[in-house]
Amino acid sequence: MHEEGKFGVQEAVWLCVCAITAKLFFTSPAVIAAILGPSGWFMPLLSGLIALACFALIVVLLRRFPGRGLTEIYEVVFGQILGSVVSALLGAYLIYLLFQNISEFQEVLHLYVLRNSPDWFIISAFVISMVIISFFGLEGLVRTAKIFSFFIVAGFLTLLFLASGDYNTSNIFPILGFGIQKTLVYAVLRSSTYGEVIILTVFAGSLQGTDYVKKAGLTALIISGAISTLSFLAYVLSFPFYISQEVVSPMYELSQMIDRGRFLQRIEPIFLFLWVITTLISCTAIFYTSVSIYCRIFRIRDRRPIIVGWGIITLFACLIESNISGSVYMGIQTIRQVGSIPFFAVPIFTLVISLLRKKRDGAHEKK
Amino acid sequence: MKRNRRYIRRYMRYMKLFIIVTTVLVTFSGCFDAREIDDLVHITVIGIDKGATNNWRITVQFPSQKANAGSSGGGSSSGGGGGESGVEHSVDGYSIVSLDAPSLSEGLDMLNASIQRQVDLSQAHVIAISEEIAMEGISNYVYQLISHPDLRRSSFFLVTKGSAYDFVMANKPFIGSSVIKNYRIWVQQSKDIGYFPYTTLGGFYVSMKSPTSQSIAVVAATNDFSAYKKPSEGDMSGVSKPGGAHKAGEIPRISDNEIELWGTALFESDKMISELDGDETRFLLMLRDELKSANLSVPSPEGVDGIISLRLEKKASNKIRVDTSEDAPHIHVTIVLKGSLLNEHSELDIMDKSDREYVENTCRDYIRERIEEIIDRCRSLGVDPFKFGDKATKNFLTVDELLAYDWNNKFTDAVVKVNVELSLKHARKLVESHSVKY
Repeated sequence: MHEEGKFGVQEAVWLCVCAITAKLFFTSPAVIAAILGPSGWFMPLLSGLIALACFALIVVLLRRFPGRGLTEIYEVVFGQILGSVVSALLGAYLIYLLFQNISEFQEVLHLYVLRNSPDWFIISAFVISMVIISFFGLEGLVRTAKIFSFFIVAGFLTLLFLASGDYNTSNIFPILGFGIQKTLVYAVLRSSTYGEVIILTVFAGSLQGTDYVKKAGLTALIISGAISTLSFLAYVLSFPFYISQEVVSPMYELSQMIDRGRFLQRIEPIFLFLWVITTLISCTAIFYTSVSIYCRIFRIRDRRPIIVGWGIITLFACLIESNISGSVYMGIQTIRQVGSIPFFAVPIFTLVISLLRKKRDGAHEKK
Repeated sequence: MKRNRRYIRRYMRYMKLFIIVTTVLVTFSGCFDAREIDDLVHITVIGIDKGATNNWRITVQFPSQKANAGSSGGGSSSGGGGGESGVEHSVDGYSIVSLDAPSLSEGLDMLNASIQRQVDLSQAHVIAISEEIAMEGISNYVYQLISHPDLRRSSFFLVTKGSAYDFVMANKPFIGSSVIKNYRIWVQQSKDIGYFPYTTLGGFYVSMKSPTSQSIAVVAATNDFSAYKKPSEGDMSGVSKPGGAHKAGEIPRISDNEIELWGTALFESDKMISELDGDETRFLLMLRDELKSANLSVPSPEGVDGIISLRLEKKASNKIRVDTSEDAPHIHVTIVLKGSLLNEHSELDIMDKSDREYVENTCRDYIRERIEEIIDRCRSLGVDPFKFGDKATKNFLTVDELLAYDWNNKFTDAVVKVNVELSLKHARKLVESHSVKY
């Protein structure tokens, strides 16, 4: 068992919140607006409820195997080889998600801010930062998330308030957008948006008990759901449905539109800071989790050499994605729509199997 | 203890590494995009015309950053079709460059070849498009403007009578030394005077694409002051006319400042189809809920001399109800205003209830009639610049239903009922005045 250090519920919550909400800064809101129209704002609410239900079921699975992380539970339920394969699939999905997230970040940053910087430069700077933070382990990462959480939330709420001058309530109508059926289907598919909460279950064995995981996970999902819904609502109120699908980075555009007299305008550089920090925390969390899964599968105790290797792979994989259409319409769309399978469906399937095969761990829960 | 020290030493080693690498990354992250402020020239106004030798004629105005700027003040506009040589292109600390280009982006590259600094559009506050382009269709130009990474949706967007080149040439800091500051203060007056709307690039683009409304833009013009007559030349026959009954460029005034913002350009999709004068613009803005206050001259009722000078203020937001259950939309608008009389009539006593009601009814009817006139005019043109269609969106459950209703076409047959609520009060400094001789 790998020790991941000690940290409180708050730290874990903010790590998950950062990991989940970082995607709001990119193309996701525009893609949702294109698919669902004005009803896009309440889809994150529905997705969040679905994710909450799924996470509650995963907690039931964790309760059956106290003191074990998700990868260990897979090995217990499916056997060592098959369990390792299932864990590897989760790890592979996480690393693919990471490639897409970094590519998307790089493309959007390149489009709006660093127009002359080559791709390799932005990605290298980002990946090196990610590797350094990973060297400090999970505890260092969650504490960083906690420290920045205040600034991120305060900045986010300030942004929404200052942008309110451009809100138009007519934009949320027709209320059902392109149809309630479509909204519900996408709410289910897009529940993967909250999938990063799985990070807690991977490290469940090293944390302070199932109740800790449950409390942190549910709180993180509720906060992330509120933040996602608010930002989608702000976006829908600011841009009518026939415009919203055109905007690459809605939240950044929103910050650009802030114009409150001569003294409060052009404040997007402040927002940029929040954007980069949140994305860095989010990507590092995913990166570290995938490294951790790899190490757990192959019983590697020292992660640092793996972190460096993994970082180099990440760097080159991210360079493959050549443009924003590639990362948005091929990569991101795919991972959002199939993401519920590794994040929620597989653990729930594992729960069903463990119930059918009456597998459970008698070990006492770690205090 | 020993273990703690070892831990601290190890931690400090990591911290040093972290600080060094972070510092290097932060410092180097500006490498490729680092731009010294002095290397840039910040464009403040962009004018766009149809080019003579290419699709775009781009005219830009920027601060010339000279300590002794302003030597050639006094306005030296060419007054012609734009781009004439032999005309001074530096006025009051601002320089102007105009060129023909195939597109906005390439035009900026061409500008970089003729300006000794790198052109930067992030401070462009005003985008002026010529009426000629607006009449032919503006979408291609607007798409390029809206997708340019430096330009903001909040940039002030206007249509110029005549060429945009002439407008930019005449555009100089009339008060103080900053064009940007002047514009920001100027456009904010829209809601307090109502003679021109406050239109931004983003707002225009949204309305241009909207299935439920049509776009508008402020009209800007250079005034040659020919409407300003000597007392002996005028045709004033003792009858007051509304102050806003002029089109842009025709206000009877004389000044060092040639340019004026006045009236509204009406668009159908991306084509300008008509122009509203200052007064019509006020009633349009009243319907759009974008007029906070205005001073209005109302023709006096029978038996009363002169005009009623009225200070109008918005008392509450408009109440707009749209019924789309029938083929033709039925619209009920209630405008709630409060007003104060600014002049005195010996025939009327505002303190007297019946007199006050008489004046209120006169003013109310006048405002309602003028509003109905502008609505009828827009209906006959087939455009809804009032955003009634946006209010109608809540009548539909899905986007498909909304699009199927085809608001922009249905608006021609719309039945609009206007209700104006106006309460008057006496707000002058004088409690009561009598005839000239007591």
